[in-house]
Amino acid sequence: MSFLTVHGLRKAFGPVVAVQDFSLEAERGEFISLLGPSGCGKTTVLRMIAGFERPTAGRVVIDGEDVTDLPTRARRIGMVFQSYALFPNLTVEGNIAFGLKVAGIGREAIATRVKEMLGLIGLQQLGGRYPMELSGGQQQRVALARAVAIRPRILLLDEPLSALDAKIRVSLREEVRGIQRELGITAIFVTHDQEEALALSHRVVVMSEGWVEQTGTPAEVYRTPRTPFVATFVGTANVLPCRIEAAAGKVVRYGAARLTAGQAVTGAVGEIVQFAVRPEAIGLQRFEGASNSLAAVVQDTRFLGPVVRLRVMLEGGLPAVVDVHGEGARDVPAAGAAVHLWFRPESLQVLDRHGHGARAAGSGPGGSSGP
Amino acid sequence: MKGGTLWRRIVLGVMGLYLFVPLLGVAEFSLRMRRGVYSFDAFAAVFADGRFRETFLYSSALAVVTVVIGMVLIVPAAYAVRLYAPRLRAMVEFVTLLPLVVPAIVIVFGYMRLFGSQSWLPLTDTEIGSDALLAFGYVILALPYLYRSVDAGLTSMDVRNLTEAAESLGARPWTIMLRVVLPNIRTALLSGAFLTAAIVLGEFTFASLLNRPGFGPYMQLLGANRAYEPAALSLVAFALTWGLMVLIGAFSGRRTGA
Repeated sequence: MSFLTVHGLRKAFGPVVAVQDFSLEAERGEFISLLGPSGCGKTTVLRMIAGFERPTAGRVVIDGEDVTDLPTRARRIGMVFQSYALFPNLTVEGNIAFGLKVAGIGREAIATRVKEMLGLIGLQQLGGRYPMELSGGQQQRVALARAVAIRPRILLLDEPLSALDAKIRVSLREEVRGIQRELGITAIFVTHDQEEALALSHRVVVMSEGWVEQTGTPAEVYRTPRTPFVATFVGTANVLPCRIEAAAGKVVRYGAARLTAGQAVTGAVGEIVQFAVRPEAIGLQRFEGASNSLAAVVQDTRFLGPVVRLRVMLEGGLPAVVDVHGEGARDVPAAGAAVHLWFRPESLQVLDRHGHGARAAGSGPGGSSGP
Repeated sequence: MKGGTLWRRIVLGVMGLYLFVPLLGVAEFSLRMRRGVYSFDAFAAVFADGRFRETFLYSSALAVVTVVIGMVLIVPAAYAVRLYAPRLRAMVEFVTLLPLVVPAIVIVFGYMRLFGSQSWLPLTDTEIGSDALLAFGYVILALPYLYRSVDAGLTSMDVRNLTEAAESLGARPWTIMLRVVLPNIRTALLSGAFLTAAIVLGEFTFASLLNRPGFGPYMQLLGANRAYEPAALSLVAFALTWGLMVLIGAFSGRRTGA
């Protein structure tokens, strides 16, 4: 049995259903991110695991113990909040010691543990300061130390980096991951930032409109998105509606172009299935293994530093984007130029017609989108 | 800019005159008890009066009881409304404002009907019963000020997240109230307490109609029968109120957690 089992969680606030049939199994020491846009239900799931919200249905089991009906204080979880939630009337040491005092631990043991935690977050010199005297990054490190000081079974992080500026976010996320790894604690991390989720996690759970769209390693979620929502929310993707040419075959048709997919496509002949192609998987010249080709006209080009992004119009009037990097980025076709887009069969990822994301992303003709 | 500064000074000057001229007049009059010279005889007479000490101590004790009852009722209520029933906040605010709309005399006559000799709970039959009734009445009178102070304190402390943070660290509701909520609204509690004390010390209607020896009825009695002492007593009461206000300001200025 997994260390954390969340089974069939559902949460309704009156007529509004915030979370639908959410299930997850996490092993000891695993770092899992719940990724999705605002209002997708990720924080509600975290709050149900923490015990702040009571599930309408479903169970939460931690280390073999069903905690669904237990109050938060009895669950032995550590929580880090977006707003830090440090006690303003207590010093850094007082904040870290709070949970230990509540647990009735002896004074000497508390002092030792607090010192250990201050060392862990590198704030040994600031133990006597009040939260208002610290920067945002320092406050969040104290909040993290306070949460792990009580040796929780699970560490829950609710968008802990959202209130920080970009540079501190990157350094602090590495610190969070380092501390989690060092302590070997199971962590559930809520974020709407795909880069954060991909960089930190063993596994990512992508959510939309209360449903789980896909669960997988960062590479799986990025390279083989299962639904149009995942394809377009995690990174940028071109979503192409293609017609099945042969039952259980790999060949499909986009307009007049015949394309080969990386895997066999299930469905009836003539049925429309959506496929995703990442902009960086497309070349403007034929390259090794690139057997798929689509004609397009360049609409405009954008210089984004490491890459140049081309907005193109495919035959049939579908917009798409192509990322050109390396030496090719020095000489990209100008707006109005006719080009051919080349990509490998394995870059053409079939998307789940029945995925919840199909509804979330709309059932239009496709197109490209992404952050 | 110069014209603006002059205008500001004129407005402030007029306001200062409006506030301080009557006060200076009262002060001057209070010093004229001895014919032909200024003296503190009126103040001495007031302080020498046993009823002054008795009524002042009585009202002070009642102020403490009122503050304690008020806080015990209002802090958990305001906290619960914020945390568990935020939609009721507007309604609760409205209810707490009612004592400003309903005259004290209406409330006290209501009490006398409800808790008088002929009622099922004749609190007015005994001194302790009347004292309790007076304290409860004062809690009602102080409600708008107490609730607002506590609510402002809760607004400034991010109640929900701090409560949840404490819960996640294993704290029980009682611990959260004592170690998280109360220390973080300390300044607001003190403001509410001092305002309540100021109200109770000067209150007349409740104490008079319930026939209790409060400081308010004593001031009225003195005012009706003496010439110079009421002026001196007014200044004493004014100084007490100002002292409480200075204390509010001093505690408000203190850094949280310091």
